[in-house]
Amino acid sequence: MSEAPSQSNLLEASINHRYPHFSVDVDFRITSDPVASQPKTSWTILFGPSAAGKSTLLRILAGLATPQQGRIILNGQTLLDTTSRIVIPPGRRDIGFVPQRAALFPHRTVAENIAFGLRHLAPAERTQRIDEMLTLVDAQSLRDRKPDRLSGGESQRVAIARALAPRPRMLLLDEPLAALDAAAKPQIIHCLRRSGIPILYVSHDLSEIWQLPAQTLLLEAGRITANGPLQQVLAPHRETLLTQLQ
Amino acid sequence: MPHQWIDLTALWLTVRLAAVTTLILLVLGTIISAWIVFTRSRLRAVVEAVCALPLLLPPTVLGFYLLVLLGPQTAPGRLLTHIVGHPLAFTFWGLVIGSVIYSLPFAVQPLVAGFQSVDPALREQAALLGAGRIRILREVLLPLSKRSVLTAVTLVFAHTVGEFGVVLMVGGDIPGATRTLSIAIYDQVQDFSYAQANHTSILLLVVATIALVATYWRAPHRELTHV
Repeated sequence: MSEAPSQSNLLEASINHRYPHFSVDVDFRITSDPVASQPKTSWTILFGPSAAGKSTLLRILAGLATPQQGRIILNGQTLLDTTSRIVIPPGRRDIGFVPQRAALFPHRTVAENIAFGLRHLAPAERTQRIDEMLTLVDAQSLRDRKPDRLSGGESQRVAIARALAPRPRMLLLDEPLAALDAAAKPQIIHCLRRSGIPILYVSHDLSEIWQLPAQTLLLEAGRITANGPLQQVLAPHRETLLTQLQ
Repeated sequence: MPHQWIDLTALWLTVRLAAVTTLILLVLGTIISAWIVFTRSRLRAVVEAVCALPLLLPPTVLGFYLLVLLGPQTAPGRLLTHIVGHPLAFTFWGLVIGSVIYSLPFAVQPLVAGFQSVDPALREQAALLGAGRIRILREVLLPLSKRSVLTAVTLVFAHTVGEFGVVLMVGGDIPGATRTLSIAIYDQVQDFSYAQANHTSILLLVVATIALVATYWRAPHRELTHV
């Protein structure tokens, strides 16, 4: 990253991390209006085959892992700069993260799960925010249920509500639909689109993302090999990717 | 003097010692276990080894060094004497220090196992939602490790009730001050009071059995319900 951050850059990341048999070496930026023709869809797809480093990259962005070298800037705020030894911890990055498994707190009800990140709010505000989130993900009826009484799709919707409740600046989703049946997927996509928040969405399933209007980063073997509108980026790779995924 | 069915003074002292030791280790063991689970320090292996040392070390070795440490010849001993006003060796609180160290692995090991069995993704989600380590410990790890906490409490209490070597080395055998039930049994056997030794032994046997049954007790398996 040689350029100074500009307001149109939502996220800038330059990351280099080496494992014994694998490395992630990426340099990319996500603008706050990725698809100019569809301004309400601030979605970016991080697409790539299995073991390309997608989850590693997402964990680094969220602050759950620290690379050997890197710089991450979100909305002009430096979250990570290994040269200056700046490492903002995950809870202070204002980034929501939804993993493949919902990872809801099993001893808390749905409402208590959503409230976990709202401790700074007054009780009345907290209750109002929980209600807003339950409405957003169509889960009002699940309010007092414990996670062991939720289906996979319901759990994932609650996980999204929990991640969105503290009003993060960006939401990272690590294959949130991978473990769900086909019927549950559209409802979750619908909830995410309604949220209006910039989203970085990891997927290796071409059919899952093909219709989404989004900027796309193509990650292969730890490197970003293409960056641009989804169908434009993936079109030349479609046959290859389909073969790989079969 | 007619023999009591059981040495009530020793029984009361033993119960007090076990209760105080359990309370201290519940707090201290939780702090150490949480550090072990959270830390990325290379010192972790050393701390875990030190915490497990009382399992392998002969109680007399531990007792001997504690006796030296609590005595006036060492700086910690002099400091403790200065704070408390008298040497801690051969006192109830000397016994407490010995018991806390001797029972440390019985608190730390179940708690570490319990905390480590909690899905790391839950800790990560809590951290992402702004929780610090103390809040993660209080609101995620401890509520999800209730069985391990119960195991630690039970094992520490039962182990303290039954300890002999460290207690004898650090506390001696002072009736009403440092004579616990296990030492009372030793004295009763030395006095050929086998009936009384038998009563005391049965009591300790029952305590140990109840503790182990409580530890190994598992709630009946519930059928998984999918909605």
